[in-house]
Amino acid sequence: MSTPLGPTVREVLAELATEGAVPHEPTRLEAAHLALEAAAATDRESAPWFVRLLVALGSVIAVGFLLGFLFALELVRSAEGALVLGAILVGGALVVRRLGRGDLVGPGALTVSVAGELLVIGGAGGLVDTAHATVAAGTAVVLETALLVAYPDRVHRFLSTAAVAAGLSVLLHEHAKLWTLDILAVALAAGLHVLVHLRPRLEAGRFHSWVGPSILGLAASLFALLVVGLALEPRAGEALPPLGPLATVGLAAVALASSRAMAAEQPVDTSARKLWVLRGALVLLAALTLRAPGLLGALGVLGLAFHRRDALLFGLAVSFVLVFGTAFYYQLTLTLLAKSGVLIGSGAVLLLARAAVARLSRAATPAPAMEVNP
Amino acid sequence: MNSELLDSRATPERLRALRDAGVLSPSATRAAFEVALGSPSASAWATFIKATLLSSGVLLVLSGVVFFFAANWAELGRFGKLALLQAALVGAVAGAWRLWPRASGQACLTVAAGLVGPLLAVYGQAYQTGADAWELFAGWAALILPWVLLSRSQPLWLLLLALVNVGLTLYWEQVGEGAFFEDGWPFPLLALLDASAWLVVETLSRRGVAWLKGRWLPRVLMLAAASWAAPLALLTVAAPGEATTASVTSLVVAVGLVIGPLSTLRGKRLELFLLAASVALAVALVTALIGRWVFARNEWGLWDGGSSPAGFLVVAVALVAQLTLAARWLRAQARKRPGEDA
Repeated sequence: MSTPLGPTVREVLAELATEGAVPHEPTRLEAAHLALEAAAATDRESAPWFVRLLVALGSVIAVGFLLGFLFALELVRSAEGALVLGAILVGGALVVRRLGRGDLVGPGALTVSVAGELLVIGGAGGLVDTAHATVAAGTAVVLETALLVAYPDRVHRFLSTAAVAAGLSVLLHEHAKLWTLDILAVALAAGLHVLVHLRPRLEAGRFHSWVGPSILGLAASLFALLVVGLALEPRAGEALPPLGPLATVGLAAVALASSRAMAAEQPVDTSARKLWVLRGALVLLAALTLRAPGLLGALGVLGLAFHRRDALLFGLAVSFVLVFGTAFYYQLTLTLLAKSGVLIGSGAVLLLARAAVARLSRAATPAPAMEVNP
Repeated sequence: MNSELLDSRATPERLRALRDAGVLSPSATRAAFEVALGSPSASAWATFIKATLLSSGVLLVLSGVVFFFAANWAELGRFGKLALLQAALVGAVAGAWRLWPRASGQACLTVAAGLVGPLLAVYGQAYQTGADAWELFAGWAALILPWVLLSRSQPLWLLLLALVNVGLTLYWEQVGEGAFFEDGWPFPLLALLDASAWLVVETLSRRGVAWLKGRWLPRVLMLAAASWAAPLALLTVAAPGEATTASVTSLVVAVGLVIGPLSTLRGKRLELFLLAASVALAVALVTALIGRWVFARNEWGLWDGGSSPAGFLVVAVALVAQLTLAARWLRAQARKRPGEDA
């Protein structure tokens, strides 16, 4: 029986046999079972997401203690010292991670590498008298892009993706108009949607170890940027507010294109009327939340997560729907009474939409055939 | 042949294992990924969209009602306010009665339970009863108790427990002897309350009580209990000289939250998420103990007001070692029940 998160191995093999992708062989199931047993006994990488989260969080805390050790030994006395020591740590961790064996290698090398990267980035920023943030951010972008390619660890690839996005955000904030952050948000969302849609093909290919961490990294970066946007004030002389209407329009366009790709994957033609109802709702939502792109961005990721049955992405999206929803209504420059009207009104609209979707679904379900008595 | 592996979810890792073992050809692997990661059916999408619209619609309406009664009180007389709330409450109850046991009926009852609080608040304000805030939450919990008992609804049980948690916290703050943080007693008491609730839910769920299927409620309850117990427990371990009866009680509860799941939620009763939570708590306690030991020992020339470089390194290494062992052990547990991924 299917799991809530997708088909079982047995169901996939049966489906492949039905499609003719694999020949019908009675021994195939037994061979599959043996292969999975062997893989489970030796696999060090795969673990449920909360186990990886536990290891990642603990490693980050260990980074703090490791840096405390280095600073307490006074090994880091200058920006140049931090840079050199950091580079040694990163290089050493990379070698150990690629060549080492044993369970301790993963978390240990991750801790040392992250500590080294922080020293490199901080040291680079400290080399200059001004524009510390720019140099540090630029260093982060270059270093983490290289490590995204070179460092073979899922947690590290997630951190690298997020660090590159953070570095680009800082560079844009320091040296460009604030509306360019809108472009970055849309680019992050577009990259995320593309990766998720191409996921089946990518998981079967050479770059499969990048896909999951990059998807989560892009989603986390998108949400973090949109959260920061809640606190950003427009600069004098700039017409467009940061992370406002431009981002909303861009995210809506990404969501519309994505919905088309989702509909194309359905095995049967999905009712055109249902699709237009949903697209109309998307456009209406974009119009209503023009100054608050976070809600639309989070809903788009929610749809993606359901599309690919990704529980972790789903949980992340639900959390941010609540965050951005709360922030949106908090920011409305209306009286409390008017806000209550907006809340009740929008809630009623959603409940009516739910009734409409339920009615369309019932209409699409064919009536049972009537029995004819002889 | 143990069929659990074949009946577990077709994750990308498992499909690549089949390809590497030659069970699937490269082209068949690509097809397998399309099947395993393909979009859910149209009916599943319809169910998801309906559930999302229902839950967010209910949340918005409830929030709107709360905002409504937070604004411009003087514009409505007290009878008008009470009448509006009571009408909404009656409407929600009627909806629950009519639509039960469907999801929309359960949502209506949740709305009704949520409206009881604002009704009590308006009543208290209209008639200046002089009640403390904790009495509002206590009364709210007491009034919705029959609905909670009859409905067999997990969200309502969680709402009830949340109200009890808030009410007890406010009681201690407003009525209890000594200030909230000075005594520290709310921490272990609330931890015990939530842990007891978790035990009851876990026991009934394991016995097959139908409406307690699903794992989210036991997980939330256990995490809530751990969140209350952890702060004082860690403080007791790290600084035993500062310990109070309340903090030692927190430590006892925390140790119970470690030992309990580790001894009972394995093998056939595997619950990997709660095992991971227990392990995380255990790692935190052990690390705090190691930290106290390495930073307090003067024989090492360590912390006595000066710097302690070796202590930092010892804690870092100990933490990484514990995480490695924990991950290895949890993966080994997961292998015994491959279907229990999350």
